[in-house]
Order: sequence, then structure tokens, then C-alpha cells
Amino acid sequence: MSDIEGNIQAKAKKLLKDGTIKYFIGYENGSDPLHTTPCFIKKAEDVDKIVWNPLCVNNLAGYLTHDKKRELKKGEEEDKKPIGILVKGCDSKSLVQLLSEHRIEKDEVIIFGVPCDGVIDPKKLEKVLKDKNLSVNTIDSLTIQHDGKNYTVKVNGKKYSFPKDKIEMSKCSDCTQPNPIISDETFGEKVKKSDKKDYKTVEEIEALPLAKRWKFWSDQFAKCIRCSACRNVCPVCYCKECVVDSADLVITPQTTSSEKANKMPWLEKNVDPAENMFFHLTRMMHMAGRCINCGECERACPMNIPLSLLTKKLEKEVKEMFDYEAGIDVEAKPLLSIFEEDDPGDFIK
Amino acid sequence: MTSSNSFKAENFVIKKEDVAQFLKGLSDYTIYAPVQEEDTVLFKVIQNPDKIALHITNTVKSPKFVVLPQTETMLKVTKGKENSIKIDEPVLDEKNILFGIRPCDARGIAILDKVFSGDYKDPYYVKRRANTIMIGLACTDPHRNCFCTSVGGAPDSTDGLDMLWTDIGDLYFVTVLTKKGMKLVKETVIFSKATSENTRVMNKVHKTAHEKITEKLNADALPKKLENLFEDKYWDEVSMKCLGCGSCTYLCPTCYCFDINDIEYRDKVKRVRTWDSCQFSSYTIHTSGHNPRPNKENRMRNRVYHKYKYHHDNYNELGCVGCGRCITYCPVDMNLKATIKELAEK
Ligand code: SF4
Ligand code: SF4
Ligand code: SF4
Ligand code: SF4
Repeated sequence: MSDIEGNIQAKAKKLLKDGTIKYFIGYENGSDPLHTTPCFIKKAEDVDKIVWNPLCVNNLAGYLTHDKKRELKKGEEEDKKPIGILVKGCDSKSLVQLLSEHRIEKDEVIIFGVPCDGVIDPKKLEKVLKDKNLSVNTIDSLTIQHDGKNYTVKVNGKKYSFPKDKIEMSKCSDCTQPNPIISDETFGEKVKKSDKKDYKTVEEIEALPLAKRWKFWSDQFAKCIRCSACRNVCPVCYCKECVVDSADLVITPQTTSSEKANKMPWLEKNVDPAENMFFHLTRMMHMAGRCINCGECERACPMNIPLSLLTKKLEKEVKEMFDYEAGIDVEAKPLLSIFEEDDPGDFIK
Repeated sequence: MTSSNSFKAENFVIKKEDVAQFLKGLSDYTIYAPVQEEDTVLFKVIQNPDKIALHITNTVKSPKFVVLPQTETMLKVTKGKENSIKIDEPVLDEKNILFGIRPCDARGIAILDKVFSGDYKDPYYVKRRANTIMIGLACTDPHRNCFCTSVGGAPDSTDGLDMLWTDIGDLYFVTVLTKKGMKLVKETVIFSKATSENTRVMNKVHKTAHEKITEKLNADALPKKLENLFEDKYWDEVSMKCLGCGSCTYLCPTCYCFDINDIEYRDKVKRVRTWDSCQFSSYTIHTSGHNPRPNKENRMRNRVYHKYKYHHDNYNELGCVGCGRCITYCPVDMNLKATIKELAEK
């Protein structure tokens, strides 16, 4: 157990014991040695489940909004205590975004920040291990250490070394925010990374002629089965009523029957090129100036659609057009609700 | 739907190098087989047998879509001259072959058979299914999340299949299980009778595969256990991390819930059936706005209850074939195997 992991456990234990937080959201070991999984610790005696290692991939911030959407059971009283949550650098950006949009307020959360030097993509790890004839079925123990350019993966007592870019999540290679922007307590030393964004992959697509670009995305979206994992995993997608769910209109006693009957189904459930394209473009429109490029949508997609290409393009556009970056400043106003006199776009003057 | 009852299984072999020729000879059929594109292996219509990728145990999406498409137009109404209307129904006479379907997925379709061609016969399903021949491939290298042997299946299960092929080196061992399967064998001279040595190797391959699945879950205990666990706190705890996406249900070979909508276009209306998922909040919402399953704990509980109790109540078998997809592809690593274990111990 690393010091960081131990310190996180100790702090969580203290906050649970003295009743400061209602629960702590962190990571525990997952279904196999290549995965960790989100965990929700409610009792002080359970804190030793918490792990911190390079397999802690998921962005946990979105769970804060789940809690708000939950319907109370009969007789259940709302627990107004704050939630303890573990965030890496990138995750902290989504937390900042949620705070700036007042989806959550600062006193509703106690933030455990961990500077992060990159996390591992379990799919990539499984592949490189397979190349070494190591099937996950036969792995009893696996630990990962990392030293600058390489990861040392110890499997069943034997050490293997893999270059970072072979097994890391692709989002980590050009991460500019390894240290949590906001936290109540930080665990571990600050990490230094480049502050230059790399848009090479986006520029490659941008350089394609229109017809080819259209074909590229049409083919990608054709794979989509509209499972909604990309939407639901997104930490800043929190609406109770979503435009892509035609049946999910929020209904109150005041909603009239004609409103229900004439509700516009913006998106049908059909999985066909037109509807799929609409689904994705809508999602992107709603993410402009809000997406913090945590890469979760791409990770969650079972059909391996390269959604980060879209989100990175969005980030680039927002920066170029409005000189704005999401998830940096808690006091920032939402991009699409503000007007700046020195807006870099000249159409506005 | 299986006609295997009256059919006595017969064993053949086919040389691996002859498989392409066998498939090319089946030009009357649309052949679906696993194809790898970048990192994703999916069942696709194949034109070129060389593209078939049989090395992956399970495709991302189960091949149930061949008999139960995600989007199915049930009818189309077009406006004709002077208030007349024209109604088109789909023609479903395409003949399909599912080649290289894994035993769990074939069992999945056998489960759908009971739902869609039992007391109520779904004309779309029944027709597609009658036109589909399933050539299974026994698993030799089960995936880490496979648990077919805990839910009544096996890496060499023949449920639902017309043929089961087993990789025995340079040859495939071919067990023909139905008349439909026999017809394909009889159409060519590529197959030869299996020798007792072939059979010995085949049995060994099957045994090794069985041994590779070490975990045995007490899944059979669940239908009874779940009688008293509906209000258990367990659901609140285990569902905390669920995102309520539909990944698990859309990839699953046995999930069959659907929705039907009439869609208006400028000049026509289509009645369309699409997959639906009990993990979506919209699945149970009433027109009043009341949602009987308002939270993820209610919805996850339903997923497990349907597979491990309700389906069993109705058909006397579990509604899960242990393919492991809902574990492998869940973005938050929800572990159904652990859930089964924990519930069985309650
Ligand atoms: S996660 Fe992938 S398959 Fe699912 S809706 Fe999003 S893009 Fe489509
Ligand atoms: S990268 Fe994807 S999941 Fe992350 S904030 Fe952007 S849209 Fe949401
Ligand atoms: S169990 Fe996983 S795949 Fe299924 S709805 Fe929940 S998060 Fe999505
Ligand atoms: S519930 Fe999960 S393991 Fe069972 S058949 Fe469906 S996807 Fe496979």
C-alpha cells in the first residue's frame, strides 16, 4: 500500500467516524486485476477497501449529480451532509465546471485531490499482456509502478516493463492539468507536465476534404447503438430531462394532456444514420464550453467510437473562437451565457 | 423451435482450408460472421470469407440482432392519390446463416425463441428465425468473464444450434444437429465422415475448455433466494455506481425489451420497433409523470430479477447465458458474477 493510499484511507476514516461526510466516493479493486471500480464507502470500518493506483481511471465527479437526482424513498429523510470525493487533475476540472454551473455547491463536497502522473487504459494493458502470453484468466496478482517513461507491471511476481504511451490512456499524453485545481486536501507531491495542448489528431481530421470527413464520421456514427453510455458517464451531463430521450419530459401536475401529446420527439429511438448523427451533434452542441475533455465518453463507448476526437475539436474551437476553457475557474460564467467586449470573434463588434 | 428431437446427430470433419469454399457455395444465404475492424469484433454480413475473425471468443454486440434487429420497420403507410393510402409490410424472406456463433449466444437465441414463438407468436421474429441457420463454434479459450457453465450452458453447448464446429487442429469437427444443418452438409462434397480419432480429439478439446472455466457460481439458488430479497438494502448498495446507461442490456444476447413508435415523415408514417432498455429512466415512466422505478436501484434490481427470477418463473430456466458482456463492457465495471455470488449467499 502506498503512502498516498494510506493517507486517503485515514482521512476518509476520520471524516466518516466524526460524521462530517455521508459517504466517500473513491476506487476499489474491480472484477479482475486489470480494473478498479468506483466505490462508495459509508462506514469507517470499510475504508481499507479504498485503493489508489494507476488503474484508477474513472472520473467520479458525475456521481455528485446522481445523488441530487435520486428520488427519496417513502419515509426517507434527505441526508444533507457533504460527500467526500477523490479527484485526479482532470477530474477536478469537471468538479470545477459543476461548481461554476451551481449544480453542486462547495459546502456539499469535501474534495480529496491527488496529483496524477497518468492512468492506464485497461484495454491496452490487456493487449500488451496478451502479447506476452499472459491471459487475464491466469493473473492472480498485478501491481504497477511507474518511473518516468515506463511502467513496470509485476504479474504473478514477474516484472515486465512497458513504455508509457503503449498502455496509458491516450488523454494522459497531453494532459495539462495533472494537479487538482481545487481540493480540500491534496495527497502526494505535485506533478509537472507540459502545458501545451496537442491537437495533432484533430488537425489530421480537419485537413481531410469535406466529403472524406463526412464519410469518416458517418461511418463512425453508424457503429453507434445509442446505449447512452457516453452521455451517462459524462460528469457534466446531468439534466433530468434530456433532449435525446423523447419520453423523458419532466411532467408536473401542471403539465396539460395536450402538452404531453404534442411533445416534440426531437430524436427517435431508430438507430439509423440520420438519428445517430443528430444524437452526436446534439451532444456536442450541449457540451461546447462545458466539456473538460476527461475522455470518459470515449472510454465508456462499447463500440470504440473515437469520441475524444470530437471533444478535443470542441475544446479547440471554444479556445480559438472565444478564448475560453471550461473547468478552470469556479467563478467563471458559463460560456454560452456571457458576452465579452474584447471577444476575439469580430462578428460580435 | 429446434427440430433436433427427431434428428440423430451425425459427425463430420472439414479441412480448415476448405471452409472458404464451403461458405462461397452458400450463395443463397446472407452469411453473418465475426469480423474485426480496428479493435472491434462484430457480426457482419460477409462477402469475403477471408475476413472472418474466429479468434475472439465473443463479439462486442451479441448476434441477436439478426433475428431481433435493433430497428425494425413493421409497416409503412404512404399517401397515394386522393386520400388513398398504401400500406407496405416488410418482406422477410432473406435466408441467413450465423456462422461462428458461440454456444452462449446460440443459447441466447434459444431463449428468445421461447419468448417470441411461445404462447404469443411474433410474426417478424418467427419468420426471421425460421430463415436462419446457426453454425456454432465451440469455445476453446473462454474469456475471463465467461460463466456459461454456472447458468446451464457450456463451451460446447448445442442448444439452438444447427451445427456445432470444434477446432481440432487442421480440421473442424462438425456435429450436425438438425435437418437444416444436414441440408448444408449434403449440398457439398467437402465434408467427410468423422473418424473415431477425430472424435477423441474433439472430446479432449471440449474437456480442456470446460476445465478453463474454473469458477462455478451457485446461480441456480437465485430464483428461490430472490423471492425474499426485493426490498433488500443490497440493491441500494450495489447500484450506487451504475450509470443507468443501456450498454449492458443492448449488448446482452438475451435482453429483448422493445418499444414501438409511429414516426411521421413528410410523405409517410412508419411504425418502428426498436430495442429498449430497463436501465433507462424512460422505460417505465407513466403519462402521469409517475415513475414506478424512479431510481437506479429499482432498475438494476429489475435487470437481475428478470434474468434470475421472472424468466425462470415463466420458462423454468435462467434468462442469462453467462456470456459476460455486461461485465466486460460496463463503463463502471459492474460485476454480475459478484452479484450472483453475493445474492446466493444471502
Ligand atoms: S457510448 Fe458509444 S455506442 Fe453508446 S451511445 Fe455513445 S457513442 Fe453510441
Ligand atoms: S470528455 Fe466526454 S465525458 Fe468528459 S466532459 Fe467531455 S463530453 Fe463529458
Ligand atoms: S450496469 Fe453498467 S452498463 Fe449497465 S446500466 Fe449500469 S453502468 Fe450502464
Ligand atoms: S446478463 Fe450479462 S452475462 Fe448474462 S447473458 Fe446478458 S450480457 Fe451475458
